[in-house]
Amino acid sequence: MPEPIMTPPPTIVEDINRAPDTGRVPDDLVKPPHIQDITPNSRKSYKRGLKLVDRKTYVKERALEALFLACAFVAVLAVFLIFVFTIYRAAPVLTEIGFAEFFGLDWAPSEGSYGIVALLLGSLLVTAGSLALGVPLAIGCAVYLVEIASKRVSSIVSTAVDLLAGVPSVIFGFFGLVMLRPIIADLTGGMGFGALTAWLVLAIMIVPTITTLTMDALRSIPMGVREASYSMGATKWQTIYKVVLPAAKLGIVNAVVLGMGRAIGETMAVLMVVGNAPVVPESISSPVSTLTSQIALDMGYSSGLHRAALFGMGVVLFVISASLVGIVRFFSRERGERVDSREAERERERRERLTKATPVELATEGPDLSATQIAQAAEVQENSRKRIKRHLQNGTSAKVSKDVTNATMITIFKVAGWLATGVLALIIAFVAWNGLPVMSLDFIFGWPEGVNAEGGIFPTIVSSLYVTALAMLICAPIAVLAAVYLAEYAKQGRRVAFIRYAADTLSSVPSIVMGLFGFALFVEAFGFGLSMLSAALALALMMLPIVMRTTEEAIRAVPRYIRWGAYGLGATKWQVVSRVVLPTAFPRIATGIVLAIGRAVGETAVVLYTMGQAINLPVTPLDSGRPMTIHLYLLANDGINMQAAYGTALLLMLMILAFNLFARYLSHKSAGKAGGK
Amino acid sequence: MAGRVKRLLALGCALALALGLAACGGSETATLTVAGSTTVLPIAEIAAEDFEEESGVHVLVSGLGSSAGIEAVINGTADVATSSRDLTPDEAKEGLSQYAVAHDGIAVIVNDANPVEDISLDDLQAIYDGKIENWSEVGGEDLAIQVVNRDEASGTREAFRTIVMRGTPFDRTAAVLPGTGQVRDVVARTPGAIGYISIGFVENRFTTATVKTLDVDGVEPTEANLESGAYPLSRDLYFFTKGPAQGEALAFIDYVRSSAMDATIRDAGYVPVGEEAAEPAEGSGGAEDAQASTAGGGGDA
Repeated sequence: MPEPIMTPPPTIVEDINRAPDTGRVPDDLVKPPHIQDITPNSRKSYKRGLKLVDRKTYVKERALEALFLACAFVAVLAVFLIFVFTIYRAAPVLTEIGFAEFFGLDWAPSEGSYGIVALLLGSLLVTAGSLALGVPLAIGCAVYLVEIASKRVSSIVSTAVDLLAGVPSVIFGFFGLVMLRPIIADLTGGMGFGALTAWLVLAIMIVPTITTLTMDALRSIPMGVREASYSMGATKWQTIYKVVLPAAKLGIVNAVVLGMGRAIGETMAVLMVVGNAPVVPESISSPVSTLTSQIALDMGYSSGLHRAALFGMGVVLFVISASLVGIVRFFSRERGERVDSREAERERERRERLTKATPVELATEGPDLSATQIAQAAEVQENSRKRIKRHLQNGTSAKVSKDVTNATMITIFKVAGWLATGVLALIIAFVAWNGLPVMSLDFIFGWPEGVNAEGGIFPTIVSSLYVTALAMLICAPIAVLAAVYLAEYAKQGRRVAFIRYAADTLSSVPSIVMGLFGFALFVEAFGFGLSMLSAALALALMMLPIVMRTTEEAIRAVPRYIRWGAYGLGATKWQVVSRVVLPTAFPRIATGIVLAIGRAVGETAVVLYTMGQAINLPVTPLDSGRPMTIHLYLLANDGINMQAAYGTALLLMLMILAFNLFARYLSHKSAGKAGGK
Repeated sequence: MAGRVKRLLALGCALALALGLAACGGSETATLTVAGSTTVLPIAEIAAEDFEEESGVHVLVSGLGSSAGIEAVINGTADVATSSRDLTPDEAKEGLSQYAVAHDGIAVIVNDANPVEDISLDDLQAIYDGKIENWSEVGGEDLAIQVVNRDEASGTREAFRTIVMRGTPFDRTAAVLPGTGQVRDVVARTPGAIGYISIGFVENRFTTATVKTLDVDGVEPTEANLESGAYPLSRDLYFFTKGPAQGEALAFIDYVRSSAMDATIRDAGYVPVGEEAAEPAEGSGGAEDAQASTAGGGGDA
């Protein structure tokens, strides 16, 4: 390669090791130390006269950095566009409907009333109930997995939780509609549509989100805290609820808030079970409607003011979810000052797993501890599990009641853990049991025939894969380069915080709002029509923050000494990134992309009004089509050819499980490889 | 390792290029765009497929609701609009031509266990606007009525609103279900429920659960009563074109109204417009008979 290879003069190395003399928080508190400012070719060093490379290389490096920055700003641009465009389309709400009427109780578009309060209340009712059911279950599950379960059991249950997170919402809705609704109908004597059914379905759906985040929070509590509690004679239960849970309080609150965001933004599953009556419901078993479900229901045929009102509802949803993200960030920032913040802890764990870092290396993160002290601490942590077990075995307790409470509570946590696994098994069994008889090569490779879509579903499979591939083609390069910028180039500061905030907000945008936006911008304004391209662009925006986050984590997990080695050989930054960092991080990046593919295949609300719904084998990106998720939704709604619905659900589920298991395999493989070094 | 990244990049570029090229070469010779009602969508799709095979004209069908389709035809983005409702006064001013393609009857259905046999249009209206809340008020048992309505995108609801509600708003506490089969299923399971679906779906080979139809004003919902016009709850499905249909659009509409489509239309739960419409449609004069009227006056809506 043309770049001149030079050995950096020793002054640079000194420069690296010198602690930053600014009064700000040291960089390694907010940014892992392994990506400290080793920037021999930065503008600063160039200006200082440290011309390590020739002008041409310097320009190239700067141009690449600018490109990465541009990619990172795509997320910001997207959030901005979504907000502005949705508001723009909702403008008639202010000019023609009026604010007061928009926040009125009457939703009757055919009679010219556009009050959203009943729908807003419906959203809140459905969310509140699902949280009340889901939060205890999720926290119980997380406590069981982190504090109680053995490693083997824990890996089974957490796999189940991960897979449950991957099940598409339309399948949850289908399950709720066909399985739960009749049961609720028999129990309540009504029709089974209403808040109660939605609670159950949504509770199942938010459990994985809350469980995973709570587990992170619990893991970040230092082992010593628990040991102190045990040494005071506390039982496991006492330790959990008096010590561990309060210590992890902030993390858990964040988890719950994010779960709430998921519940309030959920569309398809809710749409299928609430009964869609836009009123304040008489009881929890009478039909109700929510903001998201009403948008999905009305969007297809609405026009004029009605459509503007739907966009107005989109704005309301956007504001709600963005402020939930704001709340989480506010809490996290307070925690961010502390060394044992969730993120830092997670990061440390990741690197530990990946690089088998020595205690000395870890010591760089801790405050003012000598290497030996750290080594001791690390050893203590490693053995603590064993020690606690020993203590628990030997310890004789004075009070029986204490033990009984302990045993009872442990059992409850156990039940919570297994309940999550059971639900996954139940859903898989339900889909498989009903779908297997339909399964045949004709079903997979055949075309739908007749008005009730008998025959096969081949075009829908192709449409699903087509749109997902196209979305990934658009999203993955941008997301990866953006992550490269965030992890390798960016200085921690306002700009990065801003980009992260944008990415978090983007990932919290309810899928139906993304669908609305995609319809307004890509379908109508850009004139792509109902097409693969429109749907793929909307999907790409949806996937962007997910791939960005996983890629950034993957890049950060690359040990810094590898970078040092490369820099030491005189490589430029781009050489280090492209030849060393990205290839090393590749398996984990691939894992993230595969997971995102799984999500994209199962996405429904985004593509509902961007792709069209006609059955068609797409050839060009401007063709429309009907993906499997929408096929399933329409079949389930029609409620006529349910056999085809079960078959579609089974295939969809199998595809998504396959992607998720493949992602797990990739990540295990890479972890194993790293461990083997 | 670096090679892998490069290869991946190369693959990505190649794919993007291929997609781009495909996009450029995508335009076909003769294309007909059909947009509109989701009710008519299945029929239109099958007709499009068969018609394409027969004539070689590529027909693009999409379903986003009657209003969207009519709007698309008015502003020229689609050649034919499919609709499960009449034109609104505003739309009628745009000079569209109207072609009926099928009759549809709406059956009022209740649970098998419900002893009520007959209902008047007025009682039906009172039930659906929430004034009558118990079956005992219309000669049944003392059982709360559970009203099942369709979503507003549904042409069936629109027809029901025009014929039964006659300006009275629907009771908004009723469950709104987005599909015929769902309405049928819920009514079959719930003792006090009442719903309405297309006549063609009352008996259905896909399901074993049964529902009971009510006579409306003493008239049984049969195909004969539907065709004779005695049964009050009936409507037509339409195709619209901007101005009288010509060329491929006309050929397509003629095809949909020909006897070749009868089986499909019955499968979808509707009644074909019958020989009296299909026969004159053989010639190009089909557009001028009573079935097609250029809605320039707009007085009929």
